[in-house]
Amino acid sequence: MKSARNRLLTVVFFVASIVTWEAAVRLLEIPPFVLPAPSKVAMALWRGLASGLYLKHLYHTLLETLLGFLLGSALGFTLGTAVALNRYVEYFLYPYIVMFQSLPKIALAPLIVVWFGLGLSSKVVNAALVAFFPLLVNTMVGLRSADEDRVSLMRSLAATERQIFWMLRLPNSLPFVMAGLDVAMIFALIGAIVGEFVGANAGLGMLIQSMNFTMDVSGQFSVLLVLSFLGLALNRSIQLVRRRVLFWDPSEKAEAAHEVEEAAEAETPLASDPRVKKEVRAW
Amino acid sequence: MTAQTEAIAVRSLSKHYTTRDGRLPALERISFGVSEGDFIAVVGPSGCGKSTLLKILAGLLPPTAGEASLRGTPITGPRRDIGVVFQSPVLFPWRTVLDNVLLPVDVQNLGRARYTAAALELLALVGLDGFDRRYPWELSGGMQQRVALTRALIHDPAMLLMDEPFGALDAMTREHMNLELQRIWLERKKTVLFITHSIPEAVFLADRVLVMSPRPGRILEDLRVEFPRPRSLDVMSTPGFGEAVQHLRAQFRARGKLDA
Repeated sequence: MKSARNRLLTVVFFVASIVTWEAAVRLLEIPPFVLPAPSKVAMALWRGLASGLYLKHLYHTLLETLLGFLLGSALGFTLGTAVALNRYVEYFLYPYIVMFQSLPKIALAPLIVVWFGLGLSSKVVNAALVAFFPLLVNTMVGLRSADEDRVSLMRSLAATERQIFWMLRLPNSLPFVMAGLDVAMIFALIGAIVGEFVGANAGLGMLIQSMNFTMDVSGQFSVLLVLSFLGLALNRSIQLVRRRVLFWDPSEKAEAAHEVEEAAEAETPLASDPRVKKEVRAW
Repeated sequence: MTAQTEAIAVRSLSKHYTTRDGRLPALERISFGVSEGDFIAVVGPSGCGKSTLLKILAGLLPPTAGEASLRGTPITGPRRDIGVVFQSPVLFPWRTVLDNVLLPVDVQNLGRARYTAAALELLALVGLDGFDRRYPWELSGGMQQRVALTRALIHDPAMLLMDEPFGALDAMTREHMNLELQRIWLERKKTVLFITHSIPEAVFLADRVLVMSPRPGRILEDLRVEFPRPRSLDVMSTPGFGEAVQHLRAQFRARGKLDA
């Protein structure tokens, strides 16, 4: 199904929408500070990349995002595990967790800049704060979702609680944890950008802010493009890890089965391959 | 025979569950004994407490009253000299077939090095040689249940507790698995307690069939089945087999509950 024809259509559609945009801006004489033509955006992008300006700021934003992601998800995972395993921790911490969760963490950004300054640390803290919750919640749910029969099996083998955790609950929670990491990565990027909006001396968010003051709208569009590529790359890297860690999870196998089915349609000999059977069944 | 020599000894065992509507009796003063090496089938309609009985014997559930002991020692919790096979295979998808089979070895720290050869041998015994590096989701339902059986046998338990292990399989696969189970049992001579809701399956497999009543579970009948071993599927079409099945079915019909 995903033939050359479909791919061609995708390209045609993309080119057509760019051309329409360009034509509309020129024909309707839309001022560039409202909506710049794609050609203007491309030029701004080229200038920014060639001068090394974007790369310098990209580096800052990427560093803030990754550090915030690591810090936030590590804390979220640890605390989620503690809450899932210990009733007392849950009893005392859960009300605070619920309260904090309903608070838009972004609203804390100005306060965090006051506490941590205009440099790297305030953005890292901001990113960590928003990346924290998806991990916390997903780890809690994941660790508690172990199938009753599997727990019974472990108990019938006289397994200790520690063994049940390491051999069953933890691997069982990984699909949830990976889904949490997926969200946390994008949240960390949002946290870093908002932190930069509030007050910073470097980063793509700061760049957008300063371009806004000079009415450089095509510049802003070009930075947005860089940001969406950054987001895409971060998301892809999580997906890559996910595919390696969760090779056994139905959601991963479903994707694989899709590819295999296509292959099976293309050439029948593959159908005799035991791999194909298993994946089609999993589907 | 005294309790010391019996593989399973159950004396006036009762189990009541506490629910919102009060106490719900699942088992009511059940007593029976099983000799070492015997194959016992327990049949009964759904909700007669068969699974409760198995959970008590596996040490997963404390009884309300009465006592149960395995090989002379009272059951106080899960123990390592039994193997349990559940209704579903309960395999871990992140472990290969071999690693699933070795799960009891990992849990009980018996040392993988010593058991890997035994695991491969057992997998060959159940007809799964060459599948050790596959993952459970690459196997059919029948094959998965065979992996579960291998896992229950790996630490060489004296006793197997099986809770409707073939209930989820189609009729053809089920008959095949019955033959396989008999073959393995004849080769390994374990005491087996096999729970099922199929009367023909119970009669085909067992030396003795215990019939349980609907809730609260009581033992209605203790029937000895004397067909020579190994039994082939042909035994099912002999008059003696039909009589035994009819006789057991009548036990349920008398109580207006037919589930076989």
